Amino acid sequence: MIKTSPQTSVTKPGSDEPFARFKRHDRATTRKASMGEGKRSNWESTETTAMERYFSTDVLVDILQRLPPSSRRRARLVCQVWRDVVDERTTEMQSRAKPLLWHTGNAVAYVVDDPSSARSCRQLWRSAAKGRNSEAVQLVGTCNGLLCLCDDEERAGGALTVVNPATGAKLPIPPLPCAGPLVGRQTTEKWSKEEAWHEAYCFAYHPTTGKHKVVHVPCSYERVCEFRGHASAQAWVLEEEGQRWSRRYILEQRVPLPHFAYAGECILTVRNGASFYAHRRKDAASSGRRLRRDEDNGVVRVGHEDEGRLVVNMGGYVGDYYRTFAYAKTMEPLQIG
Amino acid sequence: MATREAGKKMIMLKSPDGMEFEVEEAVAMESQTIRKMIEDDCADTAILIPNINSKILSRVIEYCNKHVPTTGATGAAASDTVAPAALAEDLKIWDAEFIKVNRATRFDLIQAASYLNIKGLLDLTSQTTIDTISDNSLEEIRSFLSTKNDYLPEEEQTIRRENQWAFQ
Repeated sequence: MIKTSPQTSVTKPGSDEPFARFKRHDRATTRKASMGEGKRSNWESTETTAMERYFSTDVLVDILQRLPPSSRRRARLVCQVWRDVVDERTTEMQSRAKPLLWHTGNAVAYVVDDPSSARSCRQLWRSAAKGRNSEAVQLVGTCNGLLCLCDDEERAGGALTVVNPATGAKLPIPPLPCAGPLVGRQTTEKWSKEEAWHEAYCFAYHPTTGKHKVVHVPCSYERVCEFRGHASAQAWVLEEEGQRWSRRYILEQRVPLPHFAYAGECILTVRNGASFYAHRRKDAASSGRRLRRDEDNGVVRVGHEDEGRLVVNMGGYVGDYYRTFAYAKTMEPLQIG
Repeated sequence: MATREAGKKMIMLKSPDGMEFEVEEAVAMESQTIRKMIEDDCADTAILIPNINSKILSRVIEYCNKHVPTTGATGAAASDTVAPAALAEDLKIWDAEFIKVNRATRFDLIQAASYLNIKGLLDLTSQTTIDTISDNSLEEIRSFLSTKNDYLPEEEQTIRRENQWAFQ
């Protein structure tokens, strides 16, 4: 039997208590995170919001766990308590994007689960279209674990589909109404495998609305930037604190595009079109002999083909068939909205 | 309730404002929290449900009565004669009516469902909140929760950047 003490039976202390405990904890972590910059006035405020009155931390965790990953991440922007609950009570922020390799000739996507291991590459997705020119299906881009594919042969402007390889869900994107007259190579008589409609599309995520966008930029079509990396190229990353750009990598060889697959901490280079090498910023200690470091600011210099750690050899070199993207597994359902 | 069998064990639930609710053990055990208490033998006469007032507790009991398996609200074994699909449909309609309450009551029900650990009720009550977070702008979410943006502008920038890295 539960003891009935008069103190607990009058008000609702239990509903506020766990929250208050969390807030105290939160204040400490916030100070640590922001390193004391700026004065925080809201913590001293005594007014309670509806959220504080009704949502204990456990309830909040429960609700946040039911959200799709992209919404959960966006929920970090609502307020500090929510950010800390997402960071500390869900695994959201521990999931990192992985390098995804796309074979442009066979329409197959591979994912590298662990860039520090040579045996973690697996097939993630493959085009189901049989008996067709497999070069017709191209990957426009990846976002939050979703793949945006474009079938260049199916219709003018390309037929777009968003797929989630983790759930198998497919979402066809309605055709571009003005595709025919606006885009396309004037010199080609009809759309054929030489057409590259996919190059005019971009697949992106809008962090404020939490919606994915497919953007079509017809004017960029004949002028796709081609980075081939025969000369030296440098990779700069905007640091999160300090608002300054820092140089992370100097590349003196061919890198598959887009070459950043790991939030600036890891890049992939390719040799002979099929062997992928990972160059990690944090791996300097373990592979120090191979990574020559810039004297002053810790730049990873990639100068020779065999530098870095071999991640995967896809075999069957014929040419530049692979492009790299980022992939993070998601179970989020697909819908147009 | 004349049809109630004599062998059915009854449990007394007490709200902190002094109301007492006598419910069948099976109904009370829809709550995993109460089930645990009963199984651990700490519920011989009455269970005080802290921080859930009588108004909310009576709604919770109403929900459990409706959702307790095989036994309808009247105690008759009605579900034997009804097809499971039709029963599920009936429950869905009933749930939709049940959740037509104001925001404060719904938040109270979320809190109660979480404390009492009633999964179905938690699913039902938190769905609106989940939809709001999924579908609306940050300002709309904050206004729904009557909370404020407590970030410094540079902190907000940092979080946007952290989010974006993951979104690539």
